[in-house]
Amino acid sequence: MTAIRTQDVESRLDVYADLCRAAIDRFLPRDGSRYLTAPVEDYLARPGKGIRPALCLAACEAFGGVNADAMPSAMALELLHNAFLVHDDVEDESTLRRGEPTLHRRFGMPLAVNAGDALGLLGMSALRGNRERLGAQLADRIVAEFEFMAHQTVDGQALDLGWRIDNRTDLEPHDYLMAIMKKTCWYTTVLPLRVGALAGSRGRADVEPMIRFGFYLGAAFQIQDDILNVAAEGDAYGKEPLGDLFEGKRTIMMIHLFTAAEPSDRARLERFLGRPRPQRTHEEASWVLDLMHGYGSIAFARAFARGIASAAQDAFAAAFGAAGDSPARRFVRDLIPYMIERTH
Amino acid sequence: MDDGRPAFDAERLRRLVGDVQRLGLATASSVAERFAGMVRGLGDAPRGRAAQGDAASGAAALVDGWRSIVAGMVELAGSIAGGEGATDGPAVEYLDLGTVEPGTVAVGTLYVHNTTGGGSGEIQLRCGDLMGPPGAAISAGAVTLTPDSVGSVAGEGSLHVSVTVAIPPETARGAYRGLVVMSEPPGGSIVVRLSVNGQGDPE
Repeated sequence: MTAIRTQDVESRLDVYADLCRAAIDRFLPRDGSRYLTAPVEDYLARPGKGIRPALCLAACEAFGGVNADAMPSAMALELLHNAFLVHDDVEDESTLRRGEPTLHRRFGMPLAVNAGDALGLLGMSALRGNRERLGAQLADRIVAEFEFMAHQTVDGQALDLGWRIDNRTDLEPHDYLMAIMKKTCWYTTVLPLRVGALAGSRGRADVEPMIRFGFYLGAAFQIQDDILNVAAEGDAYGKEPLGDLFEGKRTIMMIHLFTAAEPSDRARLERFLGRPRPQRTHEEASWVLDLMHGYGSIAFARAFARGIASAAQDAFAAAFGAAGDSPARRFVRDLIPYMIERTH
Repeated sequence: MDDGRPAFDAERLRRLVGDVQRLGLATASSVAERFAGMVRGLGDAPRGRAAQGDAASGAAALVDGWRSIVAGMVELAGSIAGGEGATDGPAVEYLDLGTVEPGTVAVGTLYVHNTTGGGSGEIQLRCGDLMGPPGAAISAGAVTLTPDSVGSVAGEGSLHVSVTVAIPPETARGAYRGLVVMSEPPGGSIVVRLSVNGQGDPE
């Protein structure tokens, strides 16, 4: 019997995240005005889970490299992730991020958007470090990987926003998974694994199987994140409770609810989602949550995610088959149940 | 039951959860294969055509059937809460191999999915004849399952099995169906179906 304890995974995540955070701290230029450095440093000081740099650094180690081989890419991932979040919070009108007010609420919209731009540009600049470390050819390949990711991410975000603008209620699980593959999974799991393995193997690793493993891992992570948004207990979650309902996000639970609800409930739900966010009350959001419990939408999401996570176990063997046993390889393997079992 | 509620159908609940898990797996697989085909320009090694398409075709039946799964869950929730009683089990599962020409090969992928928390016993699979229009059939010998013995599957784990059907050149035009059965759980099965654009009268 094999048991995975989430605290073991989290302590390893912390190690990788701290390494990346220290590297970013050394990399950050300090010559900007306080109007730029204050919001940028404020945001980077908020500790995230560090899943993206951890996957990148661990994949690099598993395929024979050392942390320094993948650190420029890990830094770029973390900086771009922060850039996306700053802009996402503006677009979603979110109020909390990592347990604190979102950047636009703390510094105002103009400075927050500008800080998001800066974080994105810093992320792309960090990739320049790959040329010296890995050579021009592999560095160019990694830039191409990041360009593909960036295109997918903004397209996925556009889908997410557009569905809400059009108040789409005819979506199906395939639509949802396509959107999160683009918006979240490629830059959260697929790209970190691919780039880490490329850096560690000096370009020799077959990274095609990372698409399946990374997607299954990332989708399980995202669905658990969606569930936590409506069902998390305590204040460890760090985001606005029921925020996804206020924002009208088309999560797998919402898509299930559209399909399962009685016509009268569905009509009221459509009216709720058709109004601008400021006009949605907490009472109504709680009613939507009750519907999700009543129609089994949350149970559906849990089982749906477990099915995907089970495929991740099979896909891991294919993706890391060429990598010998190592603590880094075991860490990546142990992330599969962690993605489902995490509580924050 | 004495209170007038329909009996709680634990077995049906277990099967529905399994259906939802398989839906998640199959839908995610079809998305992953689509993206695998998009990144060739980045330098990924080229793959065989079958590896790109078979998961998507195998996923189609489950993806199409998601509304029946949702309806089943709502019915079950009703039975737990004292509403209408549970009715039929979940829809029959299909592996749809699409439309093929005589003399070609149809490929697909099915998943052996252990929805329990514990490991399974040794699992073997077998496929019978694919029955077509009156008097027509594709013999079981034309069907290859790889592997045909998947061994033990870990709790909540999945393994994929490749299904290959070599369509004999003289096969009559029409729709064909056959059954893949598993040794565990007893009665576990999936219908394989395909259409042949062959000679002769349509079905």
